[in-house]
Amino acid sequence: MARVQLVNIAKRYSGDVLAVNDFNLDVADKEFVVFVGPSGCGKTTTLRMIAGLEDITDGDLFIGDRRVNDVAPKDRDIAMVFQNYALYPHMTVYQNMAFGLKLRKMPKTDIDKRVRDAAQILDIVHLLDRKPKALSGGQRQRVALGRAIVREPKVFLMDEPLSNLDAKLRVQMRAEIRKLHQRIQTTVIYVTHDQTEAMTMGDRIVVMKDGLIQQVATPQEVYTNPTNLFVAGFIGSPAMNFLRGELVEEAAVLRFRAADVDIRIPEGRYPALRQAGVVGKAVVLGVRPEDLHNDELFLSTYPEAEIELSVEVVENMGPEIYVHSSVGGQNMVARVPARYDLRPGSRAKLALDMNKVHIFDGETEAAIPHHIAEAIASR
Amino acid sequence: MSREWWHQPLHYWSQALGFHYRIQHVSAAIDPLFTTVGGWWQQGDHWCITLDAHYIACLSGFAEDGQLLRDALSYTLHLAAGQAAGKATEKGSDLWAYWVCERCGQWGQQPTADLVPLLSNADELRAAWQGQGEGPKQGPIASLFTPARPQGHFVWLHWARREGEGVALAVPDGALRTVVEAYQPNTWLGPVVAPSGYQSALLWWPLVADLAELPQQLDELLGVLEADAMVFAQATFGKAVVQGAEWAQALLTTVLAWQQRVWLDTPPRVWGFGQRPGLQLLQALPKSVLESFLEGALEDSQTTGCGDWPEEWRTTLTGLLAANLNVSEAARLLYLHRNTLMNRIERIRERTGYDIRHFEDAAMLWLVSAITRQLGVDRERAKP
Ligand SMILES: Nc1ncnc2c1ncn2[C@@H]1O[C@H](COP(=O)(O)OP(=O)(O)OP(=O)(O)O)[C@@H](O)[C@H]1O
Ligand SMILES: [Mg+2]
Repeated sequence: MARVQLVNIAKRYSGDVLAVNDFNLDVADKEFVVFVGPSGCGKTTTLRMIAGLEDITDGDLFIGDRRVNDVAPKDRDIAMVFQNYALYPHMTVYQNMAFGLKLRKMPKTDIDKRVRDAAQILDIVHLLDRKPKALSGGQRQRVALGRAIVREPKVFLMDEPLSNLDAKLRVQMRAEIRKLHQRIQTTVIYVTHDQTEAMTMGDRIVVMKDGLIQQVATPQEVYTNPTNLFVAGFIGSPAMNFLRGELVEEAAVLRFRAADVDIRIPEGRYPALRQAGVVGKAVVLGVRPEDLHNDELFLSTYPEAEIELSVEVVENMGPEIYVHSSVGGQNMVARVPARYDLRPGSRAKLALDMNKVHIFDGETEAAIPHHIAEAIASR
Repeated sequence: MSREWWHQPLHYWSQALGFHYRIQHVSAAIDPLFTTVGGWWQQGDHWCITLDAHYIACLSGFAEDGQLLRDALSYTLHLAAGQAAGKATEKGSDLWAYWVCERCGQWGQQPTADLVPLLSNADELRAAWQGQGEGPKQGPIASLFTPARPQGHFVWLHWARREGEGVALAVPDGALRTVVEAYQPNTWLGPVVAPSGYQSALLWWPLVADLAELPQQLDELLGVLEADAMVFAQATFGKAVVQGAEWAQALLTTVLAWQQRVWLDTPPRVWGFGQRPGLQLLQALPKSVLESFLEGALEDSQTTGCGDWPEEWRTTLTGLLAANLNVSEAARLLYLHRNTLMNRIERIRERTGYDIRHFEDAAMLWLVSAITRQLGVDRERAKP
């Protein structure tokens, strides 16, 4: 059983840096959890605390049923893989993978079996006699993974293991690590600053910023129901569009207003908006690039949810185009089928899919749920 | 082991310095106090040097005040003894370590160098580095008579800092040594006493062709230490030793490099003395100058240094600096709306009087934060 629990974990570096604060997370046995967030948000620090490489300033850490705050790293039954996939230059691949076990005084025959099994899994049997110098970046990373696998740990900790690889290899290795996870069936905590990597790899993802958890959920949930402006902007590519404006009430109708924008809010959302107390206040309207349309159907479904954009740049992505444009001085990107034929310098009318539009409190930047029930459920 | 090993070095030295020597057998084993190969003492008006547990060499016509020469001769004899014992390739570094550590600790004791006194007195350190005062000795004579030594860098490894309430989880240096030696053989010199509760050891790293390779190699070393010894270590390195006499500078710059890390907002885990020359300037300033700078810089402000800054100021300043003071770029880096960032900048200006969109003001606040950190560390160290 390798459940990992972090309870009110905090890390303060000497002096004034509060790197991680009030971190609560329950990772299930065999789960693949990804920490994601911008540089400096505390991902590595948290991982190092789980590994025991850094002291925990505050809070409790459990691996399995044991509180391990004061357990030495080597007794925590974890293995780590890092970005720089450091290997011993004077040893062969085989020796590199065996070294950690040798240090633990494991019998030779057992070591041999584990190294060969891991090499099989990682498809590096033919490389076992080579020195690291004679390996490509991807091969070295496999060896680094192999060194962790042979330990048969309860938990794998990986800190940006793919970030030194080129884009193509990275995509391939992502899939391989997922497959590996299915084969060896251990808990994995994986750190990345790349939201695509997080979205494609995690059973659940933990979005962090400034040492604080912003949201913990499945990739789908984080994408469709981000809890605040930061998560909404961080997850998804191209990023969600934000329009800053005001939520006004006229003749019992709620409207979002900004320069050159006037949109009617669907009635179903009134209760939650009223409860959040944002009527008459500054709000941010968020809409994903794929939720802007110019089909007749949409334009007629949401007649009061149209905006007129000045098209600036059109990026051709093959079957679809990214339309970079602006409305009332605010930038917008739309992701529409290539047949739309929008040209730079032209103007385009697009309708927002109001079912998928997000509204954030302009002050706190928290997302206002679509329905009141959600607000209760999410507490 | 052959007892002949000392003839060649002694002969070489007597020719070079013009002294005579006589080998004496000592019937009772030599007082343990003097049994270290290369240990010196005076017998009548002769200087004598220990060769092994039963033999000594007595010198005549040897300069009385030649401490440097004695050190150099000790070193040569160590080396020769090691080679004779077949330890040259395997343990040659131990002798070298001994020789180095002798400067920091006590001859004949555990080869553990105590760098704390050096570190706790910045002025003394500076003086030593500039070749004044009673610091480690250096000079033309030492290099003239000291046989060829390996070329390379000192590397100071720190690990397992334990703070707060946690039980002290000391990591035995044996585990580290095994991994370090597996990564790069013959580099481990020995444990040294480190400041501020870290465990630490001194390494001797072979000279690299291109200095930029050194941080890379050390970063990789720290990587294997994490993977196999499971310790999070940090390393600093100083100037290279190319000629014998440069070791003192090399060691001191290695120590100074560790001190430099305080000036950095987020110290990288590998840091070299020469990596940011500006820091050498700051380091050379006495505490009184730093204090009066801080006072002057914050005279009209509502803060006394970065200790009372909200966390977001720190990220705002570093973000803006990282973006070359370009507000939009900084906002992108910090995942903030441009207006939010502008608000923060304005709040900083209100409370400090510095508008960090301008280079001079940003530089002032950068200095203020670096200097507050430095003085904070000094204050902590001054505590009993
Ligand atoms: N040794 C240290 N001393 C002081 N502050 C530190 C130290 N290590 C990290 N920090 C600070 O702690 C915060 C979190 O750093 P951390 O390395 O965990 O971020 P990260 O999310 O892994 O970032 P990245 O994506 O750049 O790797 C940062 O503000 C960083 O400056
Ligand atoms: Mg990191």
